Amino acid sequence: MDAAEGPHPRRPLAGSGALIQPWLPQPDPPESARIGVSVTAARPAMTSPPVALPPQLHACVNDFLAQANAMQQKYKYDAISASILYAAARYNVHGFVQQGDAAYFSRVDFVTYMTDLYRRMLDEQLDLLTAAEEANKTP
Amino acid sequence: MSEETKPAAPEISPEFFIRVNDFIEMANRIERRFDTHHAVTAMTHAFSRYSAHHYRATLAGDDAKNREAFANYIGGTVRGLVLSHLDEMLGPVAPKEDSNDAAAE
Repeated sequence: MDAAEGPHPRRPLAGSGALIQPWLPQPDPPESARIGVSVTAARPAMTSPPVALPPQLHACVNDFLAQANAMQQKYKYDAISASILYAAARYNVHGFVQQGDAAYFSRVDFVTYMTDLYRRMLDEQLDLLTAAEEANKTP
Repeated sequence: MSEETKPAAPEISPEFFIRVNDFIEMANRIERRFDTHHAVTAMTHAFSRYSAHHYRATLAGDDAKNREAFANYIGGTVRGLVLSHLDEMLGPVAPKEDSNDAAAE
């Protein structure tokens, strides 16, 4: 699990590897596009972009990223990625079971929702990180 | 395949689970402060951002084909892990009853 190799060409890392930048609040999308933060909240459709983060969770996300950055002093990207992936999958299932959602949604629906959510978030983060890098290049 | 010829499962380093537990402990702290859904949301967001960072830092080039391949690879891994944790926490899915049996009764 430590060496979760993807089927992609790699480029050599400079030094010990760059650190992930903390999450910065983005312009607020409409309320309807937010991830629900309560089991009673209306759930967004699986394909509805963008995926917004409730403001109170910015610091929480950055705590995770700081933890990943601290691990980067000792471990490679692959090892950290595999760890956070495994932990996130396990914790998401814990949330599904803990909140009683398992009684209302099938496992297939839950897995489809999580996979779709991850892909939308990944796309957004790739765009944000790319835009941030471009902005840094601008004199 | 007999037991003797079955390939050995890849060895998982104990440090892997220490790192996993560090992340889960962080999620537990958020859960205690807010609630489970907040913790799940923050962790998924952080995981997606770190994945994006990992992709950009280690892959040769960012284009639509590479993105799709990376998203498919990680998405498939997420799917497999979620299913395996579901089986572990809730037990395997019960087989569907034969509809012919139900109709016969």
